[in-house]
Amino acid sequence: MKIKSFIIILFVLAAYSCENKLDIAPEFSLTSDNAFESAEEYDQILIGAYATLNNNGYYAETYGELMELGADGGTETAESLRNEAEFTDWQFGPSDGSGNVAAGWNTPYLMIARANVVSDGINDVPETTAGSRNRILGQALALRALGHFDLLRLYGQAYERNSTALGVPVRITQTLDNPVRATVSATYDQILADLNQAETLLDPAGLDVSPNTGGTRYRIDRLVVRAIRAKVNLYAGEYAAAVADATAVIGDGAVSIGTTASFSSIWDADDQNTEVIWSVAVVDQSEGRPTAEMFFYVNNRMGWVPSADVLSLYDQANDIRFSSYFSNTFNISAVNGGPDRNGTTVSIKYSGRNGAIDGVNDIKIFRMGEMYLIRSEAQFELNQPTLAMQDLNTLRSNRITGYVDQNLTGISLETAIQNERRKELWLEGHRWFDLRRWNQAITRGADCASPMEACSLAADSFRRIFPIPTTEVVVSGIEQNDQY
Amino acid sequence: MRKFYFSLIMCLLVLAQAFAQRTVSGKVTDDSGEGLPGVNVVIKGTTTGVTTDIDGNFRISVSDGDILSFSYVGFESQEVNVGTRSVIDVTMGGATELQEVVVTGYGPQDARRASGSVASVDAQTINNVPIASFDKILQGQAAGVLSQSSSGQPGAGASVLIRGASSINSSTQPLYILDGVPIDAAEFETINPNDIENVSVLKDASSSAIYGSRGANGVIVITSKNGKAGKPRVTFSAQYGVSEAPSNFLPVMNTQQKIDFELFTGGTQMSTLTNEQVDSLRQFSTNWKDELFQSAATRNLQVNVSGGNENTTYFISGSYYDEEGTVVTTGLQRYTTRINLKTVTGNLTFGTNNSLGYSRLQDTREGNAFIGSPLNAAYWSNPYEPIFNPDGTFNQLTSGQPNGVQELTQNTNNTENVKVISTLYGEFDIPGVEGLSVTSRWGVDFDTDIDTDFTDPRTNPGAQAKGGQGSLFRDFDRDVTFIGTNSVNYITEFGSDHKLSVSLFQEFIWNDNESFNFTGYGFTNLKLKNEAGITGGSATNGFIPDVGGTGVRSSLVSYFGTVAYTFMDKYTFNGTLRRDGSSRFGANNQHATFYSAGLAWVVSDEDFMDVAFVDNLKFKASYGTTGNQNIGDFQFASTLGTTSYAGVNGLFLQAIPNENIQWETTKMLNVGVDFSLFQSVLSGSIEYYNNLTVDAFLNTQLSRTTGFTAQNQNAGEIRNKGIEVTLSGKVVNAGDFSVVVGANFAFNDNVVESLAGEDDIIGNTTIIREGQPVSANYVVPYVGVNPANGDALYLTAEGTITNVFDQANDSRVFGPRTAPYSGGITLNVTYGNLSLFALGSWIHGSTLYNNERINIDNPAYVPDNVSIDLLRAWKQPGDITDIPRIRTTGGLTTNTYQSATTRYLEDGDFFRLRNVLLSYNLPSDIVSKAGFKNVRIYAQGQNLFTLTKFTGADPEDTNGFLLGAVYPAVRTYTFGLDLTF
Repeated sequence: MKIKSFIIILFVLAAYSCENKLDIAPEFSLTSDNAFESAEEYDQILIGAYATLNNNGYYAETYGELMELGADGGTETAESLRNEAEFTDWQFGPSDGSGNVAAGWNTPYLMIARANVVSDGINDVPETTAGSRNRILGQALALRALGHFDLLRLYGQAYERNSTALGVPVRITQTLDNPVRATVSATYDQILADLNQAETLLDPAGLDVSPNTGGTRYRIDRLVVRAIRAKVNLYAGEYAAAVADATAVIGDGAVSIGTTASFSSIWDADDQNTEVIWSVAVVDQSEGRPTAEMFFYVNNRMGWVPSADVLSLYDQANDIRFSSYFSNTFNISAVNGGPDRNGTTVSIKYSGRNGAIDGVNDIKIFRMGEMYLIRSEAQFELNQPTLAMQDLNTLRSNRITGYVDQNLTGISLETAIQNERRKELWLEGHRWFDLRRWNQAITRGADCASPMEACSLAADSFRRIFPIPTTEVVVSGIEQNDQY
Repeated sequence: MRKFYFSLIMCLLVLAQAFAQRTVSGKVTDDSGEGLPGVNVVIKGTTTGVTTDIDGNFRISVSDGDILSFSYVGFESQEVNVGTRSVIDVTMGGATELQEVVVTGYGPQDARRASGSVASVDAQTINNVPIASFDKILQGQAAGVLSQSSSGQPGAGASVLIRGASSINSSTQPLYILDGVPIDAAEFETINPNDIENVSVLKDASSSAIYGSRGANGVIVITSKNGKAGKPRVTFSAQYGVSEAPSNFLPVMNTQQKIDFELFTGGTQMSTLTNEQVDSLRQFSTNWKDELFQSAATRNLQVNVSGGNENTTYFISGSYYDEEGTVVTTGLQRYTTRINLKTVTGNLTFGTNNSLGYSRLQDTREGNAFIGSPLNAAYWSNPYEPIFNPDGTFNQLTSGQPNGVQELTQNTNNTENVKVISTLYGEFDIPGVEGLSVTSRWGVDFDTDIDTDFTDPRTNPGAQAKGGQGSLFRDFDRDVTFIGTNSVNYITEFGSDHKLSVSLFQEFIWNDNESFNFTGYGFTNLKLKNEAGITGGSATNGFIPDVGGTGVRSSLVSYFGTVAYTFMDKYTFNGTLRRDGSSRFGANNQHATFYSAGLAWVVSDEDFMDVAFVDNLKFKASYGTTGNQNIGDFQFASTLGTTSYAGVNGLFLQAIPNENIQWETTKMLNVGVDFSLFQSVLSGSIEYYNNLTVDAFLNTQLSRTTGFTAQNQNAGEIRNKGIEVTLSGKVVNAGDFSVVVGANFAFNDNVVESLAGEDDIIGNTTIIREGQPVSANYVVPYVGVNPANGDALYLTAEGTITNVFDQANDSRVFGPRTAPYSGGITLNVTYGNLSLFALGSWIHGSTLYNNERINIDNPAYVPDNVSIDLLRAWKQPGDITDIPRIRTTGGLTTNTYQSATTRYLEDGDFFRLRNVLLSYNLPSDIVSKAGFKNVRIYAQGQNLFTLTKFTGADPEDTNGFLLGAVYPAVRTYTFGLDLTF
């Protein structure tokens, strides 16, 4: 009896552990088999693409503050323990497969790959609400265009619209094939094609609901597409198109230029009711912060400080930008004291939301101020100094209390536009590219932290164009930029 | 069966009287005079027999001239001619070498019949060393088992590499099995080493193919102690130890040197100070290492009771272990209990092994180059900075380096672990079929971890937390491994020369891991450092807590069998066949088959080998396959993870799936000879192996423009071949004086045979290239300093000297980071009640990359403290030195500091005296008067000295790359007392 019952138990146990135990599906992630059944569900992948924008390899660092520090907008302090040598010393050698230089390549392509999942698949599934497909696909294409444009800015060998110099690989579908570098001209072709299609898709008439709801401007709508295209056209030297796009944005009415009264609130409160066309959301410190390399939130440590040259440009008493961006009574940490910063002018831009000192701020990618500057510069290039001066005056009168319109022409107008750009967009990831657009050397002032930093970089130095990360060159065999 | 025997015996006893036989009685004892219960006493040539009672006594009816055979598992059998005696007392000695059993995973095997390569470490060796993680015991003990521990942190384990690295992109960790249950290699600090009876390392296919897809890195089988029948035997042990950190840290500058150096280089705060301020700094001299390191105490108390009768045996133990770390505030406390029971009723054997452990580890971050790690602060903090301000608060260093003492004292970083390992097994001898039995074994490894990180708002990480007011992170992790194994076993002998045993198994392993964590913020009241101190989050205060968690399940379903056939007691064939199905792989490759075949030949039993000095000589050979399935789950599927933007949840594709991903397979060849010569004066073994791993996981690099970095593919081939020699010599064996010397030696040649057409995999200082070892250094040769201008000079690929650092073109391969040669040496001296044991281990042939030196050698790090080597940097034309010019002027230069050079390669050879133990057993007459069976006192030293040319604090490193924040191995002196009663 005993034998039988024992053997029976054994076989019951044996049967219990049967083969179907091998079929385990992931519980804490989805598989592509079950993730997308309607166009609306692709919005989640689109969110995944947006989520790359505040990474360190994108607008948080490489395409943000480091484009200021790497140019002439700041001085690295000893407190940073030389973390930024890559940018203050321009020591990105050919072997650089790590750090922010490589991340600047990998992250936009990661964003593009995610956007391509949307564009590859969204037409194969039904949409529940008419217009949702347009809304999601339009944003994906705009992100893809933006990604290619940012890569072109950093790694492309030229900026001119029809240049046959090397641009960057164009990726418009998800594939594992090795890429080749498109020409600058072909890169622009794709960027503009995507932007034009996005503009059409995001026409409010064809949408179920606007991408931006609830008074936020975290998503790309048609206004943002036109702002991106204005900037693309400015870089490409397509000035008439840049004027047209900037005009469309300025005249849209959806967003008005911030005034001396409202300007500071877009920084210290992340106010999105004025001035801001598109900002990348930073919810908390777990996400990439736009000044992560500047503020060390303890003991008043500052990895870098604004350069004296920048500070000297402002009308410090009357310019709302100066008091919004800088302070000489700012101490980071009230807890431990540390070195007293009182009396030293440091940045407070992106130092935290609503009084918090934690560096958590939305990253401003497009603002009305830049639209006026784009149009002003484009008008100047189109030999329309009056129109150029008009935009410059409009901007200044919204920034400087008691500003009296000026009437500049020629080289002094050009310089004024360039300096205004430097003041308006300080720390927002423009300076490195602007100096390259203008073919100007990087010249750091007397406060250049020699010997820790190199203090000048010629306009024609090969280092003005970033090296393609070595790993990429090795794996895909694409052509490296010159002299690396 | 026993009942059946019993009635038979009763019957025979009746018969015996009828045939006028007589009764003899006696007592069977072990070496120490203790009665042995359960010993089989059988009249030779018959099935007549009895077993001894609880005191070892027996009575049996015999005829004159009968021969009584005494047998008991674990002891040498004896035969005694009854003659005319009526009382026969027998003392049974320890087992002889030929009757030794080897543990092969799913059951013991007679060593004589084993064809595999198995090294084992016994309880005695393990119990002597007060150590938190038993895997450190393997260091130097077994040939071909490279056990390296890169940490002196309490509770830290070792990294064990068996016969070289057979994988590039997967774990090389062996499979650990405790009492039949696969256990997580990362969690040994909660297991009491004193509960361990034996640790066996299975190195070749013949021994490890039975583990199929998990056997390729070798298998470490741990057996816990079982009770021995007899009166309760109580052992109490106490150990007290003192540990100290090594003194040979890398030298950094003192106050005067550092201040002068900063004034020389410029670019730091120093050059902005007035002379008076500089002079006042010169008054301070802080030795940060003295403040961060301490001498530390270890306490270990444990008690165990074992005993039982012929039917039921038990082993019960409890232990308390408390180790302070040599870094202030670190430490480990552990509490364990164990109950092992085994009972036999009729044909049925039931048993259960259970251990319960709780440990609490307070640790500090190690193995990184972050300024937030106090172990780095020990080097990097400037000596002119005091630890405390005059008001008693912690000084915040001007350089930006966080105050390491503050971080250690104000922040907490601990892990609590609860571990339950439990097995239940039953064995049923099927009546009517001699040798046929079925067994069933069920086990579980249940493990929960609670990780806690508290950051004080006054410290650097606390101030950087969300809201800037400190943080509390807790992670709750539950991991359950469940295993069920059923088998049918048949053992038979036929003819006079044939022995056959066959087993068929079916097994199911299931793992379920889930975790949950949160981080709370806003510690405004520092008296509450737990959940109660968290400030509720709001949109404005920035204290919104973070919540997260994940989970994964996996399973393995297997069918396998073993066969062992022995002919004439000399020739044995062992075979294993296992088919595994794994949830880790997709439908295309879900199943795989592994096998082994082994031969053992006891040459010394051949007539032609009748050589006087040869006691035992055995040849063995095996070939087979094992696998490695240590990759993440669901790599065959296209999985989407979650992320968020602007507070909205989103998805992203986690990896490029490979639906054809499958096991790595290692084909293992092993041949060897075991020998014992001159009446066991010299014994040992020599083995040769040649293992080829095919289908090795390889991260096939993808263009980053795909949005991914690599795809895992089965593409590589890696070969490990080598020789292992183990020798043991009884140098002196004169009465109560004996000296035994043991040595083991291993050579492993590790080569990447194929990358399947892929490019070399180049890291910043490493390369994986065909024809080179897996862990090769790849850096530019540094040849010194140009005396004319102080430029660092390098060698180009063509062999010319240049001052241009061209890593892409001029890097060369330098030596493996993992040592090809390793070994150990032991000495056992016994003189009466006094014994001395010593163990040393060594490695040779490794080239380490010492990144820890870079952290203090790079002149850019001058705001923090730097190496004294920089004092001899080139300063003016004509200077002959090995340290290049330090940049003191601005401007672009091509000759900047470079770290990926041979300057940081170091010879990793070392010899370490790991363990010296001097013990004394108090004379038994004194001891027994006090009511004890045995009293032993001992003194012991661990890591007493290390011979090495390596410049850092500890050359012992698992992967040959010392990144930074090294928690060096500690020197420990221990005193212990064992009481048995």
